[in-house]
Amino acid sequence: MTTEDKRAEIDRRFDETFAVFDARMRKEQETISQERAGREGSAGGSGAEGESGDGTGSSGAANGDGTNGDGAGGQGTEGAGEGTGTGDDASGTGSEGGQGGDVAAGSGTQGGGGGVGGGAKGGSGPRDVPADIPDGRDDDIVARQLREAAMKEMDPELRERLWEEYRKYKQSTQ
Amino acid sequence: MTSSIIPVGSGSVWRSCCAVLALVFGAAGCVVQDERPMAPVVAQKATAEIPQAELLDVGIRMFDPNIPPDPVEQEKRGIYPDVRKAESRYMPVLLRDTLESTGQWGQVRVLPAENSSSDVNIGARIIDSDGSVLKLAVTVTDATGRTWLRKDYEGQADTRAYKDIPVRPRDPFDNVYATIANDLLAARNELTREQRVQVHQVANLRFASELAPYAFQAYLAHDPKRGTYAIARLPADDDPVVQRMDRVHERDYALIDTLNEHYTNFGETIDDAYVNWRKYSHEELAAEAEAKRKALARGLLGAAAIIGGVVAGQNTNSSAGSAAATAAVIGGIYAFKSGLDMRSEIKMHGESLKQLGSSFQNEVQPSVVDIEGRTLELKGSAEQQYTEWRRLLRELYENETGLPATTAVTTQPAAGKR
Repeated sequence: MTTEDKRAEIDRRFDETFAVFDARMRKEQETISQERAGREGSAGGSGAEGESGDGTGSSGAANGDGTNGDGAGGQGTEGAGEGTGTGDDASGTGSEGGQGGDVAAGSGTQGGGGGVGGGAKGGSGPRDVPADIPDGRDDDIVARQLREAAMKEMDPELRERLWEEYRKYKQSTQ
Repeated sequence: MTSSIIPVGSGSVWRSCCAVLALVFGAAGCVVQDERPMAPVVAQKATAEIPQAELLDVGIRMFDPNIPPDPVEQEKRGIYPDVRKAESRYMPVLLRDTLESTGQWGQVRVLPAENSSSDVNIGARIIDSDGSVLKLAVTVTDATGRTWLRKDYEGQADTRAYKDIPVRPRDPFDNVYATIANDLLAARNELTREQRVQVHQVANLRFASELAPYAFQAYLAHDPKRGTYAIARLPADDDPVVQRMDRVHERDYALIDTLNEHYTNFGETIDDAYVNWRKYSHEELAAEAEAKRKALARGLLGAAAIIGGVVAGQNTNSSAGSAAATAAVIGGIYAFKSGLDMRSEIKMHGESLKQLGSSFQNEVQPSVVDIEGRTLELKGSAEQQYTEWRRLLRELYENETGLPATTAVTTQPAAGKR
């Protein structure tokens, strides 16, 4: 076989492989175009539907037991669910209700996860006074304000912070 | 209010209370964020036709998503792996479109992560991206190994992009992409005409050399230590191997163009959801920052007022002074309590952000898996062809020169990487 014959043979194989490759790329590009056309068509047809999301999250419900009460997750854009519970000693209100999914308001596709631990912290009601807190008969005006704020506070975490401030203040004035 | 009936004559007590309050408000004021309409950065467009030989092709590698391996670290930094993976493909498309719109460049393509075969190659690492801020570490080099840029870009979101208004930016971080485009242009303009032409020639020779090193290595002067490439000499245009190599190169472009179509498609698929995620993320971050600012201010105010009131009460003998001190303490308690309330709000915003991130991640995950799969499939399929072309090029070289292709096995890059 001469150099020219060999070159022609190599070129023939090049052409074959180029044809296979080109066909593969064409097929891939056709697929991409079809997907794009399909998406654009479906976006045009369901645009209004997409905007009709009402922001209703899949509001989870967190059920507590007898002492902790139960809670229902919130719905809607910034809904904050609230759990209510009945404790052994006093009525309590859980403060960590679910948060509604505001993503759904935009796309209509994503609901929020609701009911995160609603009512899980019920049972220790806001008017509960921790055992180490004195009866308050000798409270001055500052201590009285702190005590009242703590007793009215619904959020257990914040309530404890206020009681802590009360303790510190009482210590500082003794 | 109590304050309206406090006589001014309580002297030093009031001055000390006011001084404390002024200090607190001053400290709080330092963290107030001002949101103003953002002046657009315009990517400079070409005003005259650029000669073909000087037109440089640009390759933008998929961005480095910069995902920390530790899940705890991911959560701490608010990084959702699939969201970052999506961004690493989405952002290069935006930069590509920005560069294309200027008319300053030849072909601008998004390339697989490991590819660096264009005249000009852009790589970027996502440092921060949360809908409010975008921070990228960008590196630009050319085919000769010359570094054009190594710079961090940071931009605040142009919030008009999040609003339903008739004229709005295509992307909230358009300014970041336009700034990169302008810096790239400035770097290119520092090159002489000859240097630009050489960049393009070196890129072609590097492609050829990686596919058929035995035939093309001699044309390139490579300095491995400095990572630079220069032209040693140019091959003849009528060289049969060069001519076939050009045809292979055309297929390589076709492969990259097809991958680009996938990236474009991917960007369009996630666009709405991604904009929404960034919009709500931005809103939550802004609300969280505001709540933190208020909590700080009220906490400081409350603490200072209580302390100031207690101290003032101890130092005054007058009934008016005592009343002022009591009022300050009571006010301080309410402010302090209010600050604690804000902490609850901060916590809520933090939870909302997590929920948003995880919702968007769930939504985008199938698209990320799909694009990854298709890219691998396409590259895998092309790899078979590259293997065949390498073999044919070697045979052709041996046929034309009568010499053995001795260095043929030294470089066997994968398809799309070469």
